[in-house]
Amino acid sequence: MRAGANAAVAAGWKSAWDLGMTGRDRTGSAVAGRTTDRVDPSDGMVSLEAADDHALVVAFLGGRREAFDVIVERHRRHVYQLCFRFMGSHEDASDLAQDVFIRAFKGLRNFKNESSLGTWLYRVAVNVCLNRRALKRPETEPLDPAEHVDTRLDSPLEHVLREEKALVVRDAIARLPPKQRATLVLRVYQELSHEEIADVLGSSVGAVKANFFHALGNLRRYLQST
Amino acid sequence: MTHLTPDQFIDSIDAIDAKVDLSRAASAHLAGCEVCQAERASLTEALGDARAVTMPEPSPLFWDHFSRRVAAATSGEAVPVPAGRTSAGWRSVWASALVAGVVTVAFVVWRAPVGPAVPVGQPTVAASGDAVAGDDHGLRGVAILASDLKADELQQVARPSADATAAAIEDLTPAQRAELVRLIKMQTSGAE
Repeated sequence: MRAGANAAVAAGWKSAWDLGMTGRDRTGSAVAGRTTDRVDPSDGMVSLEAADDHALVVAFLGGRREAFDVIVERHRRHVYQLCFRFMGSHEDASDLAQDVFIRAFKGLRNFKNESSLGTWLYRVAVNVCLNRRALKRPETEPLDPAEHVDTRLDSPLEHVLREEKALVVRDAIARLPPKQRATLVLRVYQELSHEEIADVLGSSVGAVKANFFHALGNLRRYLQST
Repeated sequence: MTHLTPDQFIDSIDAIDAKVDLSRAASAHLAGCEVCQAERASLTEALGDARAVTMPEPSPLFWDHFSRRVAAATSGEAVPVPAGRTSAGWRSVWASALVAGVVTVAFVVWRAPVGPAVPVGQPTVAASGDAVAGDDHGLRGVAILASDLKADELQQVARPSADATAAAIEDLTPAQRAELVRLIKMQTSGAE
């Protein structure tokens, strides 16, 4: 596969697609099918929107800058959400997510294709967030329900109580040590498996489970103390 | 059996969602141990609290704005070139080989014993690359490779930046490195 990818880069995007590379998204679902379904009849080239992540990376490194735009479009939501869970404010999450993609732009030549692109981006995002957190303690941004949350089914009282509780929980999560916080965010909100989290954090599955256990224990203690 | 380990507690929580099967021994212990049952209930409650926090959703307009910001921030950046995969990478290899060849030739010329005096009126040999190479096939190879390089590339090779050679070598694939070593060895053995 590696040799094939190298050859593809040298030969160009179309040949890369002709190799019939398929990929999976982070949930394990196949995201690409038969390549012959995706050829744009207008120019004989492949639609980037239909390409899987690996093919996008190959296309980008082969000189097709617009392939990176598709990568951003495909992963921006998850990256932003991860940054928001770490930082607790829209402004910080927006800035950090942008930083993640800028780093990805520069660093994709080092992407080894040993993990999915989504996992690799999460790894970059966690590092960016942890580095920023070392400089600045995250804020917990009060929600503006009218802007963000569908509250049509809530009574005003239920809504207020729910938001108050959410604020307390977010503050408690913000107090967790970095690795525990990263593990909890990736597990609970990004719904990664323990194996995927180990891949992102560069640790063992056992360490991930231990961190998750301690994160939940600390979260419980913080919530009880408030 | 002792109480459940952190791993087993997490597995027991995952077992609620049917994501994993807790081992038979751990299940049996959990069924009869109130301490572990209380601990698991407490962890599960904390997990439920965390899950209940919803993710604020930015405006739909935000995503296009975000993509434009990223595009603007990267517009000045060149698309990164995969390490050691391009003609530029190979040019670095040949450039490095050329530098090695030139250095070797200079060393040989400098160390060459002084020959008999040239008779007056006999033309001296110009110190061109062809003349120095003579019948040396290795040097001819270097000369052929060098002929493919442009003048500005040769200038760049002659005045490499501090880390240029190291960076170029870093970018080589194992096969390219082996080729470079072979070329250098060929030149060095010819000098001895």
